Amino acid sequence: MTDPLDALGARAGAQLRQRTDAIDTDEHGALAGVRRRAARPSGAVTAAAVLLLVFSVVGVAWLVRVDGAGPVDAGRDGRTVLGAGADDGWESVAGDAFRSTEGVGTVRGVEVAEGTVVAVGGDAGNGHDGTVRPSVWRSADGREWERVDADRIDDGGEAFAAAAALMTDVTVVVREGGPRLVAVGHATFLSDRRVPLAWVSDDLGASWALVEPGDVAGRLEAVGASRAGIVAVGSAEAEDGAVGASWVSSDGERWERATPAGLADTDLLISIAAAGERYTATAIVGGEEPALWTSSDGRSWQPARVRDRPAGRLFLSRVTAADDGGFLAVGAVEPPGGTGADGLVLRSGNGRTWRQAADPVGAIPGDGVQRLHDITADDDGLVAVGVDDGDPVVWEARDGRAWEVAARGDGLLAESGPDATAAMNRLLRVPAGLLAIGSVTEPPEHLDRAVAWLRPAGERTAGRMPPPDPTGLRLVASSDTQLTIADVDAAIAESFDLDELSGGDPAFRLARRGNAIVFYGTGGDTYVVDPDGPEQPRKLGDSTYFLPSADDDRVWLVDGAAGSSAENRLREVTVDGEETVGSRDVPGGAIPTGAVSGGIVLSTAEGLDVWDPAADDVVARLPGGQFVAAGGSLLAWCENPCATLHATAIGSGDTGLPSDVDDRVLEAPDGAGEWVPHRGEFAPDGRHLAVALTAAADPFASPGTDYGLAVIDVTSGDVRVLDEAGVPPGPFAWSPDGRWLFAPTAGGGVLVHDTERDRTDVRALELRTVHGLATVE
Amino acid sequence: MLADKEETSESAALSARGFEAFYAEQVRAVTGLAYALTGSWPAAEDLAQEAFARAYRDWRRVGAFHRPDSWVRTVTVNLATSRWRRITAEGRALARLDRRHRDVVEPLDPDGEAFWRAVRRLPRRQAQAAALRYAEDRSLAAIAEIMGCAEGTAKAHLHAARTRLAELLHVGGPR
Repeated sequence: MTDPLDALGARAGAQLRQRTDAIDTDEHGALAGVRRRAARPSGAVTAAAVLLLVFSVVGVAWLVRVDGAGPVDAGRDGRTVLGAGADDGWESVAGDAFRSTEGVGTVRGVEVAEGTVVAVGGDAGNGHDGTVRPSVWRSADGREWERVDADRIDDGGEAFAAAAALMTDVTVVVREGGPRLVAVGHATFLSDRRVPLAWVSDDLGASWALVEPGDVAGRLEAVGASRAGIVAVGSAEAEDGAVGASWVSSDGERWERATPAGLADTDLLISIAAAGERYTATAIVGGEEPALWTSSDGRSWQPARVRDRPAGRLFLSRVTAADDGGFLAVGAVEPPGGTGADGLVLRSGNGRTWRQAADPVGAIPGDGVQRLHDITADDDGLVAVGVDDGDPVVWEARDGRAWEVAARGDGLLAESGPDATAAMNRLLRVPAGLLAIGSVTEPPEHLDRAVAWLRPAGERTAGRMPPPDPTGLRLVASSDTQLTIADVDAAIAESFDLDELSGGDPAFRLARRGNAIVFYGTGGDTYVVDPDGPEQPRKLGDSTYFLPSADDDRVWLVDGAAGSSAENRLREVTVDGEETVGSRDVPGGAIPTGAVSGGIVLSTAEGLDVWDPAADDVVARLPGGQFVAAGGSLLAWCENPCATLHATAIGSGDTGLPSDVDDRVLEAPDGAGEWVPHRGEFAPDGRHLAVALTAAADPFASPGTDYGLAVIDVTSGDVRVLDEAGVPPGPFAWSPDGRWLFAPTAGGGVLVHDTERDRTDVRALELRTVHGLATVE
Repeated sequence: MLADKEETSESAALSARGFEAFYAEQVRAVTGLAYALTGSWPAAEDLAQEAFARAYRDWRRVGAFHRPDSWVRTVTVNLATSRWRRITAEGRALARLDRRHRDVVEPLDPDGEAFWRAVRRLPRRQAQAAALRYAEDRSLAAIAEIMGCAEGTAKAHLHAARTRLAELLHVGGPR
């Protein structure tokens, strides 16, 4: 009779063999990987190598350089080495600081708080079955490091004495009374049970108090902090295995396991970045699902979209906050059916939609299998670290898109000889420059040991302007033949040829309506298009032109003789084509030019009328008026000449005007010429009005071509001239929330004005000819 | 179980055909052995790669061994039962984000997963003996050779492992 344990074991073994029999023994070049791992670095130095960091026997850093430039010495093993101290590249730092007594340590996370660089990880004594303990290292500049005494780090004492506990990431929380460092990690028991852990330090990492984020089995891999709070990510044990999970905290001490909304398909979240009040995380997921997830609160997560997603499987190892307030993500893509992997850099302004940040798309130079592990920005552009064909590599893109190999080494020489391999895993700006943290695997035990490299800072870091907030928006621009959709924060634009687009000069060429874009199309007909699928516009209705309705998701379709007073009719429809106001005859001699909540603004021979089409009644009459803009219950108009602008409340709806003001009168500011009729745009919230100004007062201006742009605070009456003469006279576009204003500049970029911070930047977004402009999220 | 005679002829053939054939024939089983001891496919692959890399680095010597397959398993079980090695292997796997085994390897049934989880709860040497016995169906002599100990010692480790496994899995104990 078979022993029941043996029977169970036999079944378990048979299952295991059945599963492993299905493994392709050389999928993705695994055998080549074994050979590379075995061969490095005792073989010849890679011909393409530029820089290689090595440790000498006494721990002095050397730089290997094989291109012949710079001062050279003969190094060990016949290599050509460049003496340490060269200021034009990377140098190894930290020396033995990351070593424990027995020589093993790993650094998983690094952060800067008030100039102190703090690295967290684990320490394993002799690296065999010794208990793994959380470890912290500190540096005043990223160059000289010291280990924090073990007795200053609460490791849980007896509760975790038998477990392997380590810190996996650290972040800094800005608060009154000084910064707080929050580290996360986990303890792994022999039984495989993992317990998530967190630590806080209020003395820049000199001592740490342990926090257990709750009675949930799981692991924490990363932590990020935004103005909205602290979010840690990892996985939690579930009935059928681990599932991606997040924990939230306001102070790092009290944690709440978030309901894993949206994460059911993930196995583990491994990296998180916070920008503004939004979080983005990279996840390990099965199949072909997205590898990026985004959240506004750290609790509810949605998969992000990579708009030019390459074919194959994405492996995104890290996401970081970019200088412009957006996000960067790096990793690799394994092409379908092929072998190896190609490096991948993605950029997003809002965390929700991503694009590749490489020119040409997909081009990360390298010799073989590339995997990018981290990315950051320095004064000269973007810098990424990772591995190429088994060698640690630094890539740079000065313009943020054209990548080149900046430094490369085929490994690190360890103390005991050349049989060592290395990888660069983390990258961070520190006071002394750019810091890379990685690991070296050295004989005889081949245990990973943390190492650090530093590229000293130039003087360019001084006086840097803080980055603008992310807009989280896309611009949609139209020309006569193309629709261009541009990610404002990522500065990436993509154009689509649309046969339905048309030339001409209607009052409105393009407008956001709800989540859709409405545009003036061929024959004057009106079309609607989904900005997420701009290749397939659909006709909304026959028309001569359209007017945006006061209601956000509707338009008026005007049918008649454009620009003439003969036989105009109009009807209102939603972007879904549903008719909300049936066809009406426009009073004779009038041309519909705008819409407010009280009715249609008609241009007549005498001036402007506001006509209620439902009641067929004129509700307001502005003799001599010229149309400037309409929005909500506000009408902007002027008399001829247009030196005095009126912002007038129409009907009883809410406006940005104070309750005691029905008509805001605004003179053109000194130095400007006149307001420009038909060239105004109200913010959706009615608070601001953007209007073009002629530069007629400038004797050197070119009449008709040089215009300024003013933003009027309707509530206060303040007029702010953003650009004296560098903006074509429209179109302008406001963000849906009314905070951001966008205007193409004469120089080919886009002016971005933040009304909340009263800050104006010009972004390098090439929109070419712009007839219509709108924003979408 | 493989008869010793079969094992001997198999190893001779392996040595003769060189590293590539050795790798192709052994990597699946070695990865499975590493999985039994780690419970992580990415870590198992990393450990198996490390073990084969060490074999390749010294193949002139290892390939001439009587049992190079035993040698690579010795390295694997020693690596896999080091918690530090496991942590660093997982760290590398996270940086590399290599999911291919996740995508191609069907998860084990709950009973199978529970069995290997119980194996990983055993003390290091007992876990090694149990993994070699049940994942690889190895004879006591082969287990002793891989573990680098006397057959009697291997037998004692295996007996203790089976006793503890029976407790953990609530099944009848060894006889």
